[in-house]
Amino acid sequence: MNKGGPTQEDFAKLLRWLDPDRDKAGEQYEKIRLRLVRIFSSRGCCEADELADQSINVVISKIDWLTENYVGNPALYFYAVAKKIYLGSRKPKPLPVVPPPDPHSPEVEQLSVYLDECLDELTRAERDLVLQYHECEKQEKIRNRKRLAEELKISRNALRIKVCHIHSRLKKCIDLRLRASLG
Amino acid sequence: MASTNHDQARIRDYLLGHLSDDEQQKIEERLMTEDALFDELEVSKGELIEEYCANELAQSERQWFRENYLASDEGRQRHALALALDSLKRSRPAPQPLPWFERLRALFKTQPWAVAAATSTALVMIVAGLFIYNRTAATPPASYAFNLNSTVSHRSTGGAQYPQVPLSPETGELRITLQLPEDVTDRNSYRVTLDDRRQITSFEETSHDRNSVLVVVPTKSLREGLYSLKLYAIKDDGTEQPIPGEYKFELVSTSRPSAPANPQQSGSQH
Repeated sequence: MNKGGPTQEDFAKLLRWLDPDRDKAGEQYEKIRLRLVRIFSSRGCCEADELADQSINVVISKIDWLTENYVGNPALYFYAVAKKIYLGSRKPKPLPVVPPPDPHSPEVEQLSVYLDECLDELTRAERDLVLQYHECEKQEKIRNRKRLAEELKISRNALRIKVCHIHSRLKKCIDLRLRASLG
Repeated sequence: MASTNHDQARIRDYLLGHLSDDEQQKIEERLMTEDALFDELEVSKGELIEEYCANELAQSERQWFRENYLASDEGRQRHALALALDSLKRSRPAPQPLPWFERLRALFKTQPWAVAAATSTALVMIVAGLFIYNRTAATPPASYAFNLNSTVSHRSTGGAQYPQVPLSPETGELRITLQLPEDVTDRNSYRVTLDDRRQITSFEETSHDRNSVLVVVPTKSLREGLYSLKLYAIKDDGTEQPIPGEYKFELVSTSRPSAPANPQQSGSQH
């Protein structure tokens, strides 16, 4: 790999290592990258995307050796590299405290407006489900979700996943609006 | 998804800092390779944020969660979104699940005048309904029906040229039949998303058979331009699986319907 970062050729080799089928390799690459980002985020890294890309670049720099010698699931090799990068990125000085978002901040108010619009883009059943799912607190919340799952004739776990998927779509919709508002 | 209660608890412990270094490594290795566990991570993060906002976490857990996941860009964004949802809930209450007849019965019980009012309203509504029915029966909204093939089963060989669909002021809806790729097995139901490069709108299928899915898209919010449809199969457990490929078409504003550009796509005005 040259010093300016991975070349197209190196990247193509990485994809071939992941899967001989280029489409499947692309999917596999995206999957691995997303998981690295999520793991760095779970560990509280502010720059999770950059750390994931650094990890991938390190793997690409070893691609010739890996192609010849590595045996096993490539995702686990990425993880091993990512862990080393994480340990190396930890600074001896304490991290700056990031203030949590203020519920009355313009940022949250703007998000509420976009969320409201994005809810209207869901089907009525999905919109009602999301709003009902987040009703109530504590014990009442648990009873409410149990009732919703029974009404939909699905398990409570399936209900959690269903709502999580609707949330992901809402988040994508909000991200699109945020990007559009930034020009 | 097949995550067990044990996995759910394990992921929760992971996000709340209850695992040793070795345990953390094991769960992270599994997160890299197991789809179900990764889904569980996404769900648990949402639930913990909800509990954090409702002050339902123990003090030490709250602090750990704030200083770790919530300190990341992703955590901060999801936290802000949870606060937005919370604020929206106050202004937009959830629909009440009480059946209509129970609400009606309660109203008649407490307000006897409501019986008289309801009778007059019903009469007015019947007359109005008949009037509207007669009008709509006379002028049904025009629909434009056409078929689309997936980019997976029908890859273009030259420059990108998508079937052109005429959009006239008389067209009230598009009836789009999406041909399923050959290797897709029949599912209970499907969801369709329409992407116009500015926003993504979701539609429930109108019907489906072994080979295709029909979706009806109202034209009132559509404009000229390129559109891309994506299909999601809904499994028995409520989870979704994206069908590979996309279905693309170009909407062309015209007062007269024009012939579709691609002979493989058929269209007809009804």
